[in-house]
Amino acid sequence: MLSRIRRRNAGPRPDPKSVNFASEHLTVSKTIARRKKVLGVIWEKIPLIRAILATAGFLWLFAIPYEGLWKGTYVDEHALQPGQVTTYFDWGNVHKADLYLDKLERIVNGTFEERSAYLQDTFSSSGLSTSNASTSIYAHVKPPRSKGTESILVSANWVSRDGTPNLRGVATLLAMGDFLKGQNHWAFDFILVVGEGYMEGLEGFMREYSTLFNGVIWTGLNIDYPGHSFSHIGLFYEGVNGRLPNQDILNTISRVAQFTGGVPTRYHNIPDEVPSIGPEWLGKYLLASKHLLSHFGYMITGRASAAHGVLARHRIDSLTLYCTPSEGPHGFHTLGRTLESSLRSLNNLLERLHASYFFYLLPRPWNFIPIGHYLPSAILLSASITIGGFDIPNPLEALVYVLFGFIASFVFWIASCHPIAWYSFFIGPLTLKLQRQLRGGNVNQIKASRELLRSIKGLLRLLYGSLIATLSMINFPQSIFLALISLLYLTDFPKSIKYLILVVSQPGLVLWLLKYSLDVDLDLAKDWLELGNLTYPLGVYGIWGSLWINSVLLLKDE
Amino acid sequence: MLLSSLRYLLLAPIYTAVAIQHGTDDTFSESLTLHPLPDGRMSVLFQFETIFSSSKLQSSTPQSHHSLTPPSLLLPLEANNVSELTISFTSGWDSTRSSSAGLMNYESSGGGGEIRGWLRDSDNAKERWNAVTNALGGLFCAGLGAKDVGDIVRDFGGIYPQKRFVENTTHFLLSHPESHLCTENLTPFLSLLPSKGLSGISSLLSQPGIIFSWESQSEGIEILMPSSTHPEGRWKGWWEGVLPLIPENNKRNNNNDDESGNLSIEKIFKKKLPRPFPEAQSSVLRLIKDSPRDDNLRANPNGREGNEWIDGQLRNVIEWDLTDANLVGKDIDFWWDGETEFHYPRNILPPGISVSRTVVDKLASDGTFQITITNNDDLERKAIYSEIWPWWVKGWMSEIELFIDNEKRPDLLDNLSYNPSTPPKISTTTLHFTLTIPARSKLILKIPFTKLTLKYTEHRPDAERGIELSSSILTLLDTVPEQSTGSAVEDSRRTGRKRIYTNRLLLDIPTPDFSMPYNVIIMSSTVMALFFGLMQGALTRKWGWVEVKDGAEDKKND
Repeated sequence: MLSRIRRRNAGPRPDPKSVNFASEHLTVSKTIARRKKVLGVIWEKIPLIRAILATAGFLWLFAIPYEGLWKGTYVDEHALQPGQVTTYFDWGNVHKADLYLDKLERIVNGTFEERSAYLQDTFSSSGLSTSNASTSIYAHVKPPRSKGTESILVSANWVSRDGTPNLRGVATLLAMGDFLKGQNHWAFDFILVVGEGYMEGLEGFMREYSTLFNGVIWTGLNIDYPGHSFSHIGLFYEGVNGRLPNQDILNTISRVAQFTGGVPTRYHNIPDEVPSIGPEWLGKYLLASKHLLSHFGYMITGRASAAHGVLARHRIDSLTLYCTPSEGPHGFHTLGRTLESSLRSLNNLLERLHASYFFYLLPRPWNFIPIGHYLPSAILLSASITIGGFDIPNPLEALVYVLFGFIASFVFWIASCHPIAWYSFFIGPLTLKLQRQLRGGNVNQIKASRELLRSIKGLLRLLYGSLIATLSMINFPQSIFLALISLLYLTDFPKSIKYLILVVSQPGLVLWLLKYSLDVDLDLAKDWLELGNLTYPLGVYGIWGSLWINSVLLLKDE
Repeated sequence: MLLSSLRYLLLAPIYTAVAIQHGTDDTFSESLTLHPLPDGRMSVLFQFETIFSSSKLQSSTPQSHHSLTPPSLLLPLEANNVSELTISFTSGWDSTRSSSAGLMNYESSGGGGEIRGWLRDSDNAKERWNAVTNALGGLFCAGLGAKDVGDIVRDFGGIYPQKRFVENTTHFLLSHPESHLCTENLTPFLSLLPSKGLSGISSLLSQPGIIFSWESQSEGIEILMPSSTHPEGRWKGWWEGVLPLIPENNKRNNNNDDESGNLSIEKIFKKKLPRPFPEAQSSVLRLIKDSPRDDNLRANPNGREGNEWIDGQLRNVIEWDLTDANLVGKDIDFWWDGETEFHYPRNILPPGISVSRTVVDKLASDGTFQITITNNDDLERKAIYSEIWPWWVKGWMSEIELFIDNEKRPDLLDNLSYNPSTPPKISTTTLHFTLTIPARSKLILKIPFTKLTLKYTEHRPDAERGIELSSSILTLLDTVPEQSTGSAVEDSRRTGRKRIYTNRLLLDIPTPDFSMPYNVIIMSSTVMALFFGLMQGALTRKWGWVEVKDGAEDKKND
């Protein structure tokens, strides 16, 4: 081995005329030549490869709602054992819930103090420790056999996601408090919370939680029961910043609702009815697309789909049970039994839910798309963008230029300007030529400038391509959105079309339209301040905004 | 018949010899204490005490004789030169729902298992301590031994002073916060008792179906070994729990005519008063009544009434002598005179001093212990607050802060003794804060800490659950014995409760995904294969010059 290492020093360079003096040399020479040729062809065909990759990515993306990529759901954590217990929530408890509801209806328009007094008196007369935080009222159920180190949170906020008072939800919570007290088969403590407002109260409670309690919350359920009766339980699962609960929670509650409560579940209140358009697979495809689009809407904006979402930031696997208002046939009895049995399942956990079951798409109840079946589309798109970034002649100079876009966006963030102000870059004097002049460069070196433009574009592609691939693991819809934006901004379209794209897709304009014109109540700035949704500072300013600014500057320099 | 008489006849000289040598100075007494708590629950405490002299017989060959004492317990202690030893298993205490700061038995530890004691000094004290813990762990069906020598804490002698002073002794303490009190602990406990759960009070205890549905359970033994200065040894065993008295419909059925509804010994234990254990010197049933809450608590047949100082209060105590033949096979009824329906109190008077510990500012790797010590009395108190941390908890000692009403009060910390662990060796950190707690105040102690990374093999089973920290201890320095005279009815310093325990804490620790070892194996194997492949290529390849025809300008190495 040592002798072989020594052979590395091949000695003095031989005479060039007799370099390939053996047949072995000739073979190697041919191999190298062939390799270079192949690389050359690939280098030339990069635009074609990019187009193929992007097309494949889009095809895959559009294939996701197709049934062939789905799998049936199953409960991965065997400890959960959904729906395997005898439930004790009975008509006596329903009667109590009715009595609570009666009283709640009378104080629905009262002040926080009045409601707080009633709720605390009620919890207290059930024998629970109760108090209030600044925006919520809570009770602590300590079952006899619980160690108090782990807890389950059950909440019902005053305002439903419909905007109406969630009186039946709160009444259910009060009845659950009364019901859970004194039962000795529980191993977890329960924390019952009634938050003010839609989700602000619960968010406030979570911020104060650790000073009030010493147990660790593993799982949470939020009850949203605005109507008189309900026909389905809608499961809302997206949390703030696109964090999803472990899929076992969803699977457990669907099973419990179906087999213990006898009520079918839906995702997001979308009816699970296959439209009768064309062949059956097309109907299923359309239904799945509907589910996925609704899911993508929450995930791209990083907004919580219901009030449970604020728990996601605290590492709590949770979801909202939304009782779809209807004429019947279900009420307190069904909901109580579903909750009891779900809590019994969660009560079985010895560890946090931790198997890698956090990344999924749900096309329909009882079905899911595992990460391996949807991820390739984002990876293909990201590869298509990344490959376009291999050609960077002046990386350092380009980096300085690209950084400018990020810094500009950051300055706008610090100055808290609405992104709509970025339109000023179209008229502003900040162009590449000026920058180069400021740094004493030669303005007339057009060739160098063209090379620099190529480098800048390459660097941006490399950067955003790798970002898409990374993001696709944790928030697939957001990565798809970013891939679309990057493809639009960083593909070499004619100049006029690019102008149009940049003007129309200005982040500020899009946000403004979403907020005011399109009947979508979307205020990301408020979400960031109140709920810690990172989409506004990081997504809009940090990533989208700087890409847009850089693209505008690039366009002006071309 | 004939055979057994023959045996007596043959062995008679030996029996008489034993009786003469050993005497009849071993005495056994037992008591059962009932104490109703403010929120419709009742504390139940079984206590068994044996006074014994050395079991060593004065003979030329080593042998020992036991009549009332269990050899399996005493022989290991004797062999290992133990002076005092206490073992306890406790599931915790909730001071917010009762007016007392801890369990009725003052020797119970905070939460989980704990073994502590004094050993007479010699070179191999540590080995002897390990021998004792392992021997008794086998006795209690729970691993009491140290997982590592470093787990043993040796500076808690000041917190648990000797009951009987013996010179040249060392204190050892081993805490197992993760241990449970489970059904396996009852049988060994009963087997240590001379009555074996067959007669006397212990027959009420030997009912796992009833005992284990209780709350806040605690089991323990305390042994003081005889020595040259103290020829009498004592071993005490206790079992405590809290049971709910309120059935689901909140009715305390006090109608004396309706026998099924009464609270009585038979209602609690599903047994009538048992026949006494013949060897028991005393067998007492005690009922502690708190004034004024339980002034209307009546019993039938009534026992001997008296007043006693218990835990800082002069309380009314009713005693029944269970050796009384009139009571055997009978029942004792209890009822609250004039009360038909029980209402849970809105507020429960807190104990004079209470402690709670939470973790605030939680991050994956850091946090801050927030210890709240509440003094509800008009007296300033002196106390030592002690913590035991595993090696992976690293406190930021320079950033410790004390607050009262958001105001920094460093002057309240009189002294701090800090014995840091020495990672990576497994060892413990212990802290003793000597504090002044002003009257009517809430003292907040904040200790920031970092969690060090645990190695793969250092994670316990159920790694995703987190790791528990032992209860910390507040040792009150200014208590006076309960027997001392005084005129007041209430004085929270007049108590035998010198130590108040906090809850256990469950700390989330950064945990690798143990459920996916195959992914890790595949990834790391791939990396290894690539690395070795490259190395192999580099080492075995022949290096030389080759001329490539196409690209004449750059020659390539291969």
